[in-house]
Amino acid sequence: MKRFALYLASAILISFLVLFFLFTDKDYMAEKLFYRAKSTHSEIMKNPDATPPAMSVSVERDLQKIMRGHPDSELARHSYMALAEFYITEKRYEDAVAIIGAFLSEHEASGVSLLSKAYFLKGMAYEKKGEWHNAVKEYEILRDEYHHTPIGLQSALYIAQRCKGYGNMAETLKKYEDAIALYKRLCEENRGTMLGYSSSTYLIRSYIETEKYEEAGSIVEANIYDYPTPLVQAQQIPLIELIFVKKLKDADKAVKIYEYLIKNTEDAEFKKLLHNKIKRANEAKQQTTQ
Amino acid sequence: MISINKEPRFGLKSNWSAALELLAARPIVLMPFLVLALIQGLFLELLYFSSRRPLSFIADPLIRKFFGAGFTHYPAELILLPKLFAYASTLIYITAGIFLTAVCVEIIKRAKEDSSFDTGDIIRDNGKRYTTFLIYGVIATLAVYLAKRGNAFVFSLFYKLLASRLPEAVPGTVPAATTFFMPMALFLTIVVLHVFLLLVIPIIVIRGGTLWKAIVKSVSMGLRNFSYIFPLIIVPYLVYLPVFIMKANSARLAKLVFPEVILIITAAGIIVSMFVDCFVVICATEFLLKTTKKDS
Repeated sequence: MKRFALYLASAILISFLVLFFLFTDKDYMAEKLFYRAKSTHSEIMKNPDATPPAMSVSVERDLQKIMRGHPDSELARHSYMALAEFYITEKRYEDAVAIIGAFLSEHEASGVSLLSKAYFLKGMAYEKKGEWHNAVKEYEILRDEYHHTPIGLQSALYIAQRCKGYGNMAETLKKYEDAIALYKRLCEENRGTMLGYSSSTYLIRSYIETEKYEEAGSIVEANIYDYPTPLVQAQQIPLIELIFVKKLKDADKAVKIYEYLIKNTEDAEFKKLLHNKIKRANEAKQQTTQ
Repeated sequence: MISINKEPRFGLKSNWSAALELLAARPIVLMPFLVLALIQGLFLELLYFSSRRPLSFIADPLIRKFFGAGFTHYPAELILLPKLFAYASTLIYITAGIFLTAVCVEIIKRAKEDSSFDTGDIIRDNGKRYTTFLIYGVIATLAVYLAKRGNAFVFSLFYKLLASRLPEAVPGTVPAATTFFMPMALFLTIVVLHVFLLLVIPIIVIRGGTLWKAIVKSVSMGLRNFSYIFPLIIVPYLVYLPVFIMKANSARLAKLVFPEVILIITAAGIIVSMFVDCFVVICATEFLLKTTKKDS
């Protein structure tokens, strides 16, 4: 019996070893390296100033190994981005710009998602280096050529917000106007689609940040009619309260919208929420008239 | 005096010590579960290597179709491993597990009778009842599946009630519920189910008769002797509980430690369940043998 047990245990072990050495898949090993590098990078980001040097070295080494060993693979392209993010975490901004430059020249046929991320990271590296004028150039490429990607779409508003942080009011207003113009165009061209709705949310935020509450309110109202889904309706509720009740002091308009939503929903919990909102809007109206 | 139609009680400790003595004196009783562990181990290896070439040519299209393309890459394929292994284990249990349990019961019976036996004869004799064991395997699997669904349903009801009475308590309790209480409740549910189905195979092997009579007899013996059988099996199953909870939280553990820990936990589960299941089968068979002896 003991011998039988030993034979069985040996069979398992030998079969494991045989499979392990026979099935040495280079792509699988590269994925393991990539995961290890990303995990180590996540650990470094928790406390970047107190990282043992060996950890940083291992991240760079693993990612460069993937880029050298699998130059034409999708994983190698993601490794470029991961390495750029790592260099930014390590405050090696020159290296980040260099690696992204290498990626853009060698892999210009990559997918738009990776290319948009590359421009964003390049802009971020310049920004952290203190070269805002160079950063804006990259963000503007992102805004103009990749506005149909998630990163590209938000870049227009991002440029205006960052400008505000640097204190140049004239340039900030210009950037907000550019963002508003872009988002308005995208809303109209892509009405009824995901891109159209996403553009409208950024347009609302742009109007709110430039205190154009009437315009923001009209977009919110249009969204409720153009995108009659529970998720979109739920996302407009806090905006209705902010714009119509708090900023425009037009509680009647807010109540009208809430009543429209109550008529067009079957969800009892949502109806209860809307009744509460109507109550709060009427209370706010009474306080305003007093 | 009204006599209660219960089977005579043989002390739990004496049952356990008799089982341990048998394992030590006649380790051949472990052989069917060793073979089962080998089959499970080989399947686990194949599943682990299925994300690598050349097995990935066959496995990747299937995984993409049923689980999504993300699970064909590291480390997501390791997160999926316990689920795939559970499906494989179910298949192994139905096609080989019940049959090997029956072989183990026969070996225990012959060992207790102190008669010499040929393992080949035992396998051939039980092979004649293979269809019965196959059908029982399907029934037992269905029963466990219903128990799991019932468990999940009870928890969802509990949370609906909690959300309506104490909504602020819900977010705080969810982590503890999912990491510990739900797996514990499922574990207890499956042990309780075992109390009623544990004796089916020993009854078929030792007393003979049809599958349906064996199921009815096992359920009735479980009901009459619940206070004996439940502690008889839950104490050895508690050895398996830490592995059960780790398996339920394997995805979280993979993020905390390293992804290959999932493979280690699953392999540990195979080894631990080999010993625990064998021990429980010996205890159940001992109980039935003593009951049968008393009746005759």
